[in-house]
Amino acid sequence: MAILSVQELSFRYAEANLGSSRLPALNQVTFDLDAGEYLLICGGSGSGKSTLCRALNGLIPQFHAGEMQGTVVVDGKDTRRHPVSALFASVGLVLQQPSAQFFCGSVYDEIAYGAESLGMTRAMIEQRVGETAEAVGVGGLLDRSPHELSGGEQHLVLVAAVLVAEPRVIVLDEPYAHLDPVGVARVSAALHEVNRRGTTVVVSEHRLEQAAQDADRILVLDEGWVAALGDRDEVLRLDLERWGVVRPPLVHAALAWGVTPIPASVEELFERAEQRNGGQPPAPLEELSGVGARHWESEPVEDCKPGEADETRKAPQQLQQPQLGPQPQQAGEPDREIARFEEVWSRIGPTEVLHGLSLRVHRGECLAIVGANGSGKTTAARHLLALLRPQSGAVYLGGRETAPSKPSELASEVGLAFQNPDNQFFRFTVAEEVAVGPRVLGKLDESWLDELMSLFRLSSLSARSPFTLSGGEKKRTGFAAALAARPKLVVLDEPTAGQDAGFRQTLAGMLSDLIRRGQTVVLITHDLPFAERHADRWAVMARGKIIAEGTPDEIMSREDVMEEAQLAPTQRFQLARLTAGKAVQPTAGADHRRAGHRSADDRYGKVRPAGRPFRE
Amino acid sequence: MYVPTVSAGRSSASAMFDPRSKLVLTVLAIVAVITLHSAIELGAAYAVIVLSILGIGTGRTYLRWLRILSVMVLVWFAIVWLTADTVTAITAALRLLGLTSVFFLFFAVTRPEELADALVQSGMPYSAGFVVRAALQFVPVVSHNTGAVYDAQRARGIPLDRGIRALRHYPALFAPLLVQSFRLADHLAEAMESRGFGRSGRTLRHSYRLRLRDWAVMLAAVGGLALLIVK
Repeated sequence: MAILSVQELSFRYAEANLGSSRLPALNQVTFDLDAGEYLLICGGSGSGKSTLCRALNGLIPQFHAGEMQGTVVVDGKDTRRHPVSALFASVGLVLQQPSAQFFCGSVYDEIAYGAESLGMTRAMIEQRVGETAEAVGVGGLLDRSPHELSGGEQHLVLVAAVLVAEPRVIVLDEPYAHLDPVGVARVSAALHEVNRRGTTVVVSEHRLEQAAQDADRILVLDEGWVAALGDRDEVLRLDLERWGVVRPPLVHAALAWGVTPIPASVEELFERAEQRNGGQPPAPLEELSGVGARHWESEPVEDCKPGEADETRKAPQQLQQPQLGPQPQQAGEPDREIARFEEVWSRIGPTEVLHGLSLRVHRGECLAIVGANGSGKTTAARHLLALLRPQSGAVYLGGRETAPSKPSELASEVGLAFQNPDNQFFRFTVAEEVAVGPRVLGKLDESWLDELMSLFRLSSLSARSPFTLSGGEKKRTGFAAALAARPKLVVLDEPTAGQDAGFRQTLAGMLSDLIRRGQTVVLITHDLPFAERHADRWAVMARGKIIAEGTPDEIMSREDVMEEAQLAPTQRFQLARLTAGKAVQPTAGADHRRAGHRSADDRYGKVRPAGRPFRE
Repeated sequence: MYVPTVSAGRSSASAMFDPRSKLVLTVLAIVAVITLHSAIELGAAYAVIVLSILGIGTGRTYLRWLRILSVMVLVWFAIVWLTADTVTAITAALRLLGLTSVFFLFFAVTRPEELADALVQSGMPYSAGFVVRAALQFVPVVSHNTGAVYDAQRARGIPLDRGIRALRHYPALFAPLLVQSFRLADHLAEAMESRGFGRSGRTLRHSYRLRLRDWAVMLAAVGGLALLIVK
């Protein structure tokens, strides 16, 4: 008997729900899950993933008003007939934004809360909290405040907080969206362990690099409809891009080289591809040959200044050892510098965040400051606008030190788009919101604002309230607002965090246009696949300072740098390095992508979970 | 404004008295500060509060907190000074300092969940006790959000730094905060429901009992306040 059964589930939010569409969020969703299975739910933004997650533990329809049809039965309980608080012993739900889900003062109390709800004895609670915390890997954090933890640790605490009730099913809504590679690996390992012990795991995610490896089965949602459902490898063969999902390079290569089941690592894939190819290395793939090369999605803009921008965007031709620490300014280059950090030491409260940061940003370049969560990337950016001031050292903008200035005096030179655009919205329309900065700074230029609205595809949304926009639309509004006063330098903080493939593609086009116009762009990110494709140069941050600078290829070829920064080379880089020097040839596996296109109806029906050879 | 709370490991000061007796002492201290009229008396009362804060080892945190509070105290002093006289202004500023420092002391020795659990054990409905607990837990979260909104708006050139001109732009600070607070409340409610908030038969992990020393200190405080009022 299925542990989780969803039959013909449709849901439409009530009209009063701010920002929600009147279109159904879910349409006749049907699937069953057996005990111990691991299901990945993927799909673009607005495809219904979060709604489905909430329906699995009864928050929908009990907490969110709307029209629901069909049934959800979990562990034999119909979610419409049992209150959410009764269902939590059967199904645990971890939502996005972990910091908004803590309501206790310590990790211990947070985990114990579920056991208290079940009325366990005090001795039992103590035992259960200890066991669960150890199983999930947060045993050392029990005395800490959950708000002090990193994003990865917060997700692990929430996993422990729902597992303490020993539910048969655990559901996580986009657990990897804001995590760096280390955080992703920790949460993934914990979920794997939980699943190994027999708990059914359901993960909703559009970052497939890790999630696709872990799952037995995949369900693809598209505008609330089930677009595909089946064994992991079977679904990954399909043309997922039409549903806003991008196949990770590893999957792409495995399918192209005919290696199934899909392996867990690039090394394993390459080894098996060699075996399959009679001991010869597999043929390189055209799509992977240009690591670091751009794949601009949009057309050049009319008023672009090619000479100015192209000079700084030349892709390096050869792999070189990256220089550790800041690169020295070369003779005859002083005019290229737009910003400079000189031995900056800085603290936030009692915590020292920057430890002698030195970095130069050159005019017209697209620089990515990469590093793990908490490495000091955002703190560094805040110094550009004097939102923070160094304890020692200095930050220069166009040769002028920033510390003596007020942020409002620097805002016309640096546009900073923070990770969470909700922090800035207060006007009634998108158009007013974008114009706030230049209006205050006395630099209002209506024609430039029109151009920005068009560039960021906001023209049709200009009269909408910014509060009702989707996540991607809010991000675009934030980017446009950062550029509205025509700053010389624009800084985008984690621009792709929590965004789907469609948004990434749109952003790539916008970045392309901006750089062609000669705009200097700094990306702050731990999304290395995106930074690899769109930045000329990387500056790697770890423990509050730059530990290496160079091209993406140069940086990723240095294992010591990547390890120190707690980053992992992209799958594309690893694949390209392993196949380097081979001519591009058609592969036997390439055709199966066409063969993989089947009608949605063919993909329905009960499919047994695939094995997980990569874990054995 | 950030109000520090005791860490998860319970300090000796925190464990010495029942949360309910600490609450009663706090209420009595507030009444005392409101009752006192002269600047000298208020100064003496403030000195006692500061000595208590130093005694529990949170002096450094208090200084940081005082730095933030000082702006409000100075503004309050200036308003009263402009509308009355210097002595009244000093008294008003000391009263504000005293009242807020009493709250600082209370939250420095009382964890919100201790207070909530103790009140529930005394008969308060669990949901009401939880409101107390959640409201206090979210003070640092809202404080963090305020900082994030403040920076986001200043980064766009909105002058929120200081001065009268900044007041005109305060909607840019309050509107995003208000919207975020509603969202935070929604997310919190979802998380609570998903972890069994509404179930009956909940276990209260800690049991609280008013001991002799709790009664003694409360009686002493009531007596002291009575003397203060009738003198």
